[in-house]
Amino acid sequence: MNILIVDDHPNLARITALALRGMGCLTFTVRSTAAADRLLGTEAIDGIFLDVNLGAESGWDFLSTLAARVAWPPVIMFTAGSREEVAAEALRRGALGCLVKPFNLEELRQQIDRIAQHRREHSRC
Amino acid sequence: MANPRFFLMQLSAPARAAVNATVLEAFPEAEVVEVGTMEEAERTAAAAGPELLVLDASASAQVIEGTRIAGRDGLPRWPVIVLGRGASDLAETVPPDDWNPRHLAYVFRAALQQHELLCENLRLRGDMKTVARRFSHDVYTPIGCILTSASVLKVLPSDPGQSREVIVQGIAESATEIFQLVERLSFVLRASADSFAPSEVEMGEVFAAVRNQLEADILKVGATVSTPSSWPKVSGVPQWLKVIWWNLLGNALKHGGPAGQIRIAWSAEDDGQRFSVIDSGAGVKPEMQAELFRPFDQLHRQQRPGLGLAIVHRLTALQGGRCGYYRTLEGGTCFHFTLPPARS
Repeated sequence: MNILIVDDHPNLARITALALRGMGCLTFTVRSTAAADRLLGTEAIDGIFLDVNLGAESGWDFLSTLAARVAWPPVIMFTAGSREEVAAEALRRGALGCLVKPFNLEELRQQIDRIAQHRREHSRC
Repeated sequence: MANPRFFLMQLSAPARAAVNATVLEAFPEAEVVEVGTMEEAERTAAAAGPELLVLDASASAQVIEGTRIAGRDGLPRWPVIVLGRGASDLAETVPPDDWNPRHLAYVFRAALQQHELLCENLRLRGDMKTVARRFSHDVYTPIGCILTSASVLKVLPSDPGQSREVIVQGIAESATEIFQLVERLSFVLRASADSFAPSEVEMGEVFAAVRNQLEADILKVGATVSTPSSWPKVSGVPQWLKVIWWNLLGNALKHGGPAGQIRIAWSAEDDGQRFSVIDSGAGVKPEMQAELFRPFDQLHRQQRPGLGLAIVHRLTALQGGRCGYYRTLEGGTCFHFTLPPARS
């Protein structure tokens, strides 16, 4: 699966990418929503890990932009905030799930499994 | 208490006479400014000392407006006193029977003291919110990075190529990030909470020490730093002054472009000495300039502002000074701060 990581913290993005590659994913890492948008135009992305707080930008705004499109990959929101609050907001805005920092490999794998399942279900349609 | 400034607005003749008699007797050095509208009062540049707005009870709409006006630090600009009959939840109301200088002086002093405490309270709460926000994201994220890295390291194959090196490097960088942030936050909090006595400081010596600290960065970007041939003495705290210079010179090195020209200058002003760091960089976008020196206690309202200039703002204010930014005529940028002159 091709996974796009949108996070302005380079180390966390790097370690997430490394872990995802260990799970057999191909990863793309960007620090801004503009770069993410450009990449979505050139690569077939199966899932996005999107940070809620992207410096001057908001991951929520980018999620809303994606959700307004006809077709968009499933999004997992990354957050350092409260799981309950972010999970509810993520679902309300159309994300597939959320991953609270710090996360371990098992939690990351669960989100990858959800993306894979989402992909299977939508490829059947 | 420094000499206050009284704004008198829409007062009846007896009320005005009572205030003037009070000022003459209890605040002989105070400034009295008569204004017709709230806009006029708001437009008047803030005084160096405390300010107080005195209104007639008939101007109820202005009472609400007056309590909402913020000063240059974003906190309520003044306490509001109402002269006349009627009660207000927002301001102390003094009925005509009590318009004698002794009672009015007591009310004015109490209002100024209460206002000072209110502002201090708001500042402290703002500091707490700013620190909480920093911890909830800027500290939490690198900590998360370390914990996630540890989780990855546990299952990493024994022959991981360069992966282990990349992870360890990430852990080291994250730990450094946390250390620097904690160090900066605790410095600001300690400076704000501790009482301090400014001393006479040779500014040239302070700047030289900071320049030495940043010498490696100066060489790295190939910048040229020119300094004045002589330096004044100022009244301040040496360690705080070092942090101010470190931030301003560090910013100039970071944003001044490769092989940038950085000029350090100072000039005598009416209220002290102004020190400037002028670089040849591209400057700050106009829409971002208003946010540059946002007070530390209001940083939590911004998405993710830099800490450096907020620290400069706080440390300068604590020493009785001010700071600012402008674009020079030659196209460079100038960050400056002004400090009171050394007490002889």
